[in-house]
Amino acid sequence: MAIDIVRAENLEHALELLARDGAQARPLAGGTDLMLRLRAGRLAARTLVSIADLSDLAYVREQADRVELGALTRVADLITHPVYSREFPAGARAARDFASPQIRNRGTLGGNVGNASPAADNVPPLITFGATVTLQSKRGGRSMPIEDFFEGPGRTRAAPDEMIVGFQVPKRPGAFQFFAKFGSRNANVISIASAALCLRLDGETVREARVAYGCCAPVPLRARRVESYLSGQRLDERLIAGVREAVLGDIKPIDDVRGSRRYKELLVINATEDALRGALESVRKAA
Amino acid sequence: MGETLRNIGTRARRVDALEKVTGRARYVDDLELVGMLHLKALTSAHAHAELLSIDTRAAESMPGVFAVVTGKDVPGENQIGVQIADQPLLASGKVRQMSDRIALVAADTAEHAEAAVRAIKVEYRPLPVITHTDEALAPGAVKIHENGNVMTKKQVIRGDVEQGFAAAAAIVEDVYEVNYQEHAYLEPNGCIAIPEPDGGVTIHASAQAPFYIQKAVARVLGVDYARVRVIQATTGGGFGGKEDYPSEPSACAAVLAMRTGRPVKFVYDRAQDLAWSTKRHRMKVTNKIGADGEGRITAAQVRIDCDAGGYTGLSAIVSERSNSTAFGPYRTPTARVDTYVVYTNNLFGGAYRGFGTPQTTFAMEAQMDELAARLGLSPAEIRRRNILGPGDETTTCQKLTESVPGIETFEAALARSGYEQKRREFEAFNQTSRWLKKGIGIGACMYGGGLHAGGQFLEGSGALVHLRPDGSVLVSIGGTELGQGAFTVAAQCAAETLGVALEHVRVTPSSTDFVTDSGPTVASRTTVMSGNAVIDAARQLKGRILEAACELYGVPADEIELREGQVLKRDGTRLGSLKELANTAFAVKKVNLSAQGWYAPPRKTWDNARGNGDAYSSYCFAMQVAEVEVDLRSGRTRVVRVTAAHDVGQVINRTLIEGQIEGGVVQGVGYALMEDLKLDQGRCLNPSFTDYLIPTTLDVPEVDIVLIEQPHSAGPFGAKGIGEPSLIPAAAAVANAVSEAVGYRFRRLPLTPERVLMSLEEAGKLR
Repeated sequence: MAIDIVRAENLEHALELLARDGAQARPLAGGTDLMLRLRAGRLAARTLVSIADLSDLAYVREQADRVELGALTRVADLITHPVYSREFPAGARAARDFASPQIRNRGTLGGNVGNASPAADNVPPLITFGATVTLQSKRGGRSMPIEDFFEGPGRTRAAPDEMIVGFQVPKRPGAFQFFAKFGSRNANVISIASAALCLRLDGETVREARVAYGCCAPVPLRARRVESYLSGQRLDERLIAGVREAVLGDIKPIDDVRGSRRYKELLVINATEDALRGALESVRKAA
Repeated sequence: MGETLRNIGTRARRVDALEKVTGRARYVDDLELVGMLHLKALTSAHAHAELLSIDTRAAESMPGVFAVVTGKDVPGENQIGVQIADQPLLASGKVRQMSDRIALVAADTAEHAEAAVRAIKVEYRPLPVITHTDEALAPGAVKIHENGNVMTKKQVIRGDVEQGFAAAAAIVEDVYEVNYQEHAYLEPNGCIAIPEPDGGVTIHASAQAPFYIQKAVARVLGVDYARVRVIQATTGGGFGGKEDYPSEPSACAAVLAMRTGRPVKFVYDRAQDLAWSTKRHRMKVTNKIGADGEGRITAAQVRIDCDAGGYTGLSAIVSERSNSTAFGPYRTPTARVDTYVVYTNNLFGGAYRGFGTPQTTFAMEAQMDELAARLGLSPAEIRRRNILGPGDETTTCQKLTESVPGIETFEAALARSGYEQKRREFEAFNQTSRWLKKGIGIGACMYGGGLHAGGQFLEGSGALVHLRPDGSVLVSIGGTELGQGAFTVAAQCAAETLGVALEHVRVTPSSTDFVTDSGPTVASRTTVMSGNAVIDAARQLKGRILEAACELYGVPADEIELREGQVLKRDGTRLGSLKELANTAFAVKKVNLSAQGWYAPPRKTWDNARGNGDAYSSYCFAMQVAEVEVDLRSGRTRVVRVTAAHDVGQVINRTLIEGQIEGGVVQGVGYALMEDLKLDQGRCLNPSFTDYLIPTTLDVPEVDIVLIEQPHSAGPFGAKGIGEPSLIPAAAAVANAVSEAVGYRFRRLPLTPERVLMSLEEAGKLR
């Protein structure tokens, strides 16, 4: 089964190729997921549209109220970029915990999102920041909240001729951010579960809570029950002790080769409690 | 000796360092030959089934296909069982594990071969799959082989164990279970078979034991050993996984090379290697220890159920080591071991660094901690009171005589690690720390160097040393270079004995054409066996050239010294160069400048019925202390530091010894904490390094090494082996540290975060 790899000269060209070959074509960026699937014979595509040369899709741009990320921004750049790591320490943390140096140096943010793994480490923090993903096709462009982008493992709402071109990430000044991933070793490991929180606090009161989990559903999951449980509440031990029920209401992890449902539940509950305790501590320290 | 050693105890650079770090070394998959074909195998779709029919017709007419063979096409004997003839090369009649080969295809490209493999149609009648030794041993269990599911039974009987237990003040008895471990060598299995015009075959293989491959290939082809030449290709790691197993792909490639008349390459990808090759055995260890009021062991009893998988392979030999050294470095006045080697339909158990003892060590070391707690002793004190010393007898009633620094090694590990003080500090820390718990644990081992008495028919090693007329030296050994540094040690032994500078010694790739059957490179035996063989050959050469020197310089031979390529008088006066001497000896005196060396240890006595006798030629001690931190929120364990004290006889190459110990510790940490092959009905569910996790550099603890040197007269310059003792106690030490940190005894490995957290949750220890 021969596969054509076509180097797109610019975005126009890439979108044209995607429009021409439709479901048979896939954009190729870092290739850290795609090439494995290709070699394992698990890729339906006949044409790979290499977008590696589209350097104008690799950027981190600061605007007054948001940071814009290009789809080809390498995961490694998220760790070191001064703006991203300053505005989104939890996002930079996720990037640092992601895969290995080799994969971080090749793999792109657009690829990690487009691969649509429920374990994609970069996604839960982006959900908690309220990030949107921007898609482009010959027909035009559109954006949607990143948590709405996923349909299932490996499946997204991008049409066959659409390509992720970038992300808009609203700044969260003063918010408490948290990310933790769990694996059986310290590096280069697919998460058993991950948790991200972004809390806007007013004294010890939670004004706004955004919470997301990885590996707890067929898609990276925004935990709306947990969010509404926390929002407007006073952050104290009683609130922390009660979060378990809300977490269990949101998540639906499965037993798989990386861990049992019950273990993933415990991890996510513990991480959420830890995050809330950390938030409380930071508020009290600031006071 | 008595003279200053110039090439021994150094940090000499590996002889193969440059070729490996520059990428110039050629591994099997780097070799391309004209007309070469690629081999792919069809393996079973069931772990246990009758084989009803195989239809290869479609595959035979696929593009690029040169040959498709099944069991009936094997020209010699369709059999590769090393010890017991229970394993066909290609399945016939039934399949007993997922890795059983049904058919082989050779084609012009790997892709064509793969496509043809998929076109082969096989009909099976599935049989019940036996997934645990308990199921295999249950009454009425389906028989995997005609003679039943117990492959063999071994035992050790020492005194009256019942009497020993009657005299005990405390007894602990528990069941421990350990999972598989994959070798995870960098290079998967691979070989090339080249048909030779004389009707023989040449094999280039990534392998530890070229002589095993020679016998296996001769058997399946029905040709003489002398017509089978096996050359070890540069090998990217083995750890036991390339002891017997490479005979299987080599025999497959040989059959197809003979069939097609072309070179045939058979290289596994990682998923195939993980699913097909041998593993460290799953074991169930039921360990019962009794001690008197002072903590001195009075009786030790163990039952070992070793899960062999579908065939014998090396399992009976592996279990001999479990059987003989099940109680570690401790005195056992009365003892009883019962070892059952059991067929199942799981993965194929085989050789793996430590050879059946990391499992029993994990159980024994946990039991020592339990016994200590029962008697109100510290884990260190109970061990101190039981460690074997000179004059003591082992469990197999072997008297320990020479180089027995068990207690010295133990005390060195305790002192260097600050064990007692840290233990108190961690206890205090854990009182106040809610989620992070610290622990310190001991792992102790006594390792018998070389092959067991039961395998001594293989125990001898050769070397061939040529002194070239320019004073350079060419060495061939029967042992193999696996990354452990065997060739560097061989070169150092030659350089030291012949007084040649190390850079003028070259070691050839190991080949069955150069030296006689030297057994496998296993059992931490190669420094001792090949080292001694090289010294034997080099001494012969030295004797001959000193005689020539005596005539040439008019100085008595015992007044002449060879040092770093120079010929000197004892008083240091220079007489000439080795180059000049070698050339004159060769050209003028017609001296034979080639010598065959040989080394075999004295014969050992062994009573198989009672498991008594001299199990091993010598023993070495390994004592490790692990410090861990356990996070009760995730169950994750971080190994902070491992202090590793090792009795090595004499250091030959300090850098290589440290590398062995660091590597062994890390493999032990992986075994203790994360390496977890998962099976469903005999099928491996995680045959990839994405889901079978081994430690990364970020998981490696600080390894603090202490070397104890008490030379053993049988070792080259006094050296003992280090390959396996570096790994054996590590997992036990880590597991004991984790158990101590969280106050809960773990009896299964690995201690994955999930196992730790869920066990504590179930035990009500979390809230």
